[in-house]
Amino acid sequence: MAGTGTAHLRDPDDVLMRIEDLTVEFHTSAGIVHAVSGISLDVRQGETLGLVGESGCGKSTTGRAIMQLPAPTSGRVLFEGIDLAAIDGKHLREVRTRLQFIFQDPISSLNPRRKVKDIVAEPLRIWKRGTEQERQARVTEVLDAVGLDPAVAGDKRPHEFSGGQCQRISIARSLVLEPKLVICDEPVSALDVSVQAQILNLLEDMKARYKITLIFIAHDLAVVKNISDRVAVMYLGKICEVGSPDDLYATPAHPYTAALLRSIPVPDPTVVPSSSGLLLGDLPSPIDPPNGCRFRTRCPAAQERCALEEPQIRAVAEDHFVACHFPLVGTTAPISLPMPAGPVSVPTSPSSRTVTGDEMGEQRRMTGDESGNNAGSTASGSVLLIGAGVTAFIVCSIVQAAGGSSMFTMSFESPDNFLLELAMQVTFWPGWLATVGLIGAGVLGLVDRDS
Amino acid sequence: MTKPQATSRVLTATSGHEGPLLQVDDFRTHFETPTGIVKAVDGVSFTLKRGDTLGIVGESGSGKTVLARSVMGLLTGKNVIRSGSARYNGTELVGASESQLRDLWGTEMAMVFQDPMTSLNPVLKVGRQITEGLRYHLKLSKAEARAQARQLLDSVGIPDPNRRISQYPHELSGGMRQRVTIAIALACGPTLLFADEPTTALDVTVQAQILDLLQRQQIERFMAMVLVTHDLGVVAGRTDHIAVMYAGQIVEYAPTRELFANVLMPYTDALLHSIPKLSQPSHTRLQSIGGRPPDLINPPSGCRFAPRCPYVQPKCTSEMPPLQEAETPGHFYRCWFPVGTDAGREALAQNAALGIPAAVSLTQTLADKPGGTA
Ligand SMILES: Nc1ncnc2c1ncn2[C@@H]1O[C@H](COP(=O)(O)OP(=O)(O)OP(=O)(O)O)[C@@H](O)[C@H]1O
Ligand SMILES: Nc1ncnc2c1ncn2[C@@H]1O[C@H](COP(=O)(O)OP(=O)(O)O)[C@@H](O)[C@H]1O
Ligand code: SF4
Ligand code: SF4
Ligand SMILES: [Mg+2]
Ligand SMILES: [Mg+2]
Repeated sequence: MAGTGTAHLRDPDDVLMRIEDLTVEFHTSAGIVHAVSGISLDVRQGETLGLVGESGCGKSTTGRAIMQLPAPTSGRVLFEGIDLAAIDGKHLREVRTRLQFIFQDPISSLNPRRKVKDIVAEPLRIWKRGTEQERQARVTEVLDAVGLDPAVAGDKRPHEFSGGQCQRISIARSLVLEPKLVICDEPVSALDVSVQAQILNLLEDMKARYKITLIFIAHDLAVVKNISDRVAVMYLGKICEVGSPDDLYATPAHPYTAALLRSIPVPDPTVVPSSSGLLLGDLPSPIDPPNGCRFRTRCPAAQERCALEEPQIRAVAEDHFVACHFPLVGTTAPISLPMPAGPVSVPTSPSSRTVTGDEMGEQRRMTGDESGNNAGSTASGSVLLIGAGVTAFIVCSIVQAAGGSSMFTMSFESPDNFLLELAMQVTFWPGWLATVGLIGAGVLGLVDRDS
Repeated sequence: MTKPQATSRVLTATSGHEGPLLQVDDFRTHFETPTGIVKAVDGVSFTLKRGDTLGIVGESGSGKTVLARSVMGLLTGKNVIRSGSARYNGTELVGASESQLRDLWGTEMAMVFQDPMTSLNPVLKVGRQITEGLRYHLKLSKAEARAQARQLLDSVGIPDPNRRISQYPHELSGGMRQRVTIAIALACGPTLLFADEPTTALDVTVQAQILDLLQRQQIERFMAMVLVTHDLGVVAGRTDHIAVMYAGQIVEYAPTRELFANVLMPYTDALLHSIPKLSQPSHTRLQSIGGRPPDLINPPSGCRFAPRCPYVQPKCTSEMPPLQEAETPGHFYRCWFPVGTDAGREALAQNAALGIPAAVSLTQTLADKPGGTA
């Protein structure tokens, strides 16, 4: 299977939109462009999903495929439970009124010959919504909501406005039909930082006011973090990592996410830019993407296995998913823990330790606590160490006991006896060592404090 | 890093002149247009010495590109009016003849542009574009020039230079094209390099590579560099000084660390507050700057930032603040009520009390963040 898995998808009844194994290919004279290759994503009502990645990784193609513009080569797009690829044109046009798109270039996406109020009213006219009066009232309301004076702005034409104001007009137009989902494709990339902040704040306000759901596409990681509730990182037509922004940015699990984060120049002169850990080279061609893991040609952690086998998405923590054989989560943690929740992982070096969700939380709290140096925090640190030890104990016991039991393997993408076997081997010694080590360290900590 | 590599014959330094390599004084560049005179650069002064990097930041339209091109003498249109002074190594550039400038381009000063595709000739092979300057300026033989070009491609991190040298620009990726334009700019060993948004068209991972490359070359060749960008992040870690431009003027100028530690100009402060930062939790409300930059044909008569400034007072709209030096030597700013001073605090509090939205929201932001400026 070419897909990168669906472990990160949530209950279908719980989501507004869900894409499954979406593939988009373009046939060109140079060959087939694999723009999007088997990605799955979902977004809940009221949520903002951020889609981030370098130029050409397939963000816009994904956004357009959701709108069926053009329809994907394969895969399903379920909006409110309806498969958009399976319905006829008339029905699709009707559904699209609840599904709006905002483009990157605010000026060229507006008809230059029309007045702003007509541009904004156009979708209402096409769909014959309300009376002329009701339509005008609606246009006035949305223009006002996006921060334009309807009396002044309504009669002007787009060229009389700045880029930021044109983006406000695009947003107003996308809102008149009361959409459920708005896909914003790089809505602030063409704007200056001061105006970018205005538009980001405006989108947050519109979300609260009109209860819309957003898919926010951008290449700027800081912008995506600011606006999103969930972030998906893409590389060369694949999903690398999905998670809540605060988690994903604090402890990136995918080597690509980590490298991206390291490349961002921070506006702080005390942070000296380091060239270590930067990615080398350029994005490979989507016409002939690398086999196995598509990131392997630039990945600092790549191993032989990465060329042979495509990584499947799996959980590394609660609501944190990664498609990598050797994820980074755990490297900042002080202690190595075994990897029970994913038989596809083979820890090979200290830099590829993997832990489960619970333990992750434990470890993060532990590291947090270690930085404080009052006695209370040492005590809770010790208690947590013991807790983590006990968790490791339980986890190891489960893995060992699981030996092929179908209940245990059910939660994995590709249950495979060999891999489970492997997981058992791998978790056995480190697992028991971790158990002993953690509990021991915890007890020592407590003793230390008492003395 | 490495010490200046003074081996190649193209690296012989032009010297003899004491003082800064580049000295710009009350420099102006205006454009005559049908609707009026666009004051794109309006009284800019700074100096730059060899080995130093100056960052010029500002939003689009603030005059960064015009400043860089005009100093180099690249703006030759009939509607261009240049005045003031710009001296390179003691030689006045304003009013210099084209042939005088031609002698300086490439060998003394060079430029890397934002969009590598527009600065490369699409129908010439990469090698030819590099050797042209070498043969014209340095009078190298064809073989010498080719060997030198290969070495240059190698030094800007292009793998397999032997193959790349006979390729056309469209056969290269965006990052590689920008490496080629850097190789061309460096070919004849300039001492002053202008880089105008050299990474704006590139992806963030490639941007980091290119910025590293520029910095390494600058140190190795002991060049002076002007790094123009709209991204405060790009200049923060890679410059010695920063000039913040607004509406054709420098509104703040300081050593990089000093600027970030003690912002004085409300515009700089607003820029810093408006960028989303990775260190902030998601959904942090951004401090946006209302309105937009002024019309450069009829800029406001007082402070040009006054229509958008949360600190604005009546004095600001009647008198243009001069660029003056702060208590910290070397830190210049153009403001009557600077951030972090008593005058500034008072002005802001007054505006907040009057209910001026920009002042109210800034005051709230500052209250939420005890570490904030002001
Ligand atoms: N109509 C098309 N025909 C051929 N190739 C296409 C077409 N549309 C997109 N592609 C290719 O598909 C890949 C993904 O493109 P897409 O526009 O989705 O990228 P993106 O992530 O939005 O990038 P950017 O950040 O530059 O907007 C690219 O390699 C692109 O060149
Ligand atoms: N050839 C020209 N004729 C008229 N106006 C120009 C010309 N070139 C630039 N300008 C104007 O000068 C101002 C500064 O432009 P520029 O230096 O390109 O800004 P920046 O590089 O800071 O984005 C802008 O208002 C721009 O429209
Ligand atoms: S699967 Fe291998 S190549 Fe891909 S990101 Fe993980 S370590 Fe790197
Ligand atoms: S306080 Fe006055 S002088 Fe200073 S930036 Fe604001 S408007 Fe300009
Ligand atoms: Mg795109
Ligand atoms: Mg420019």
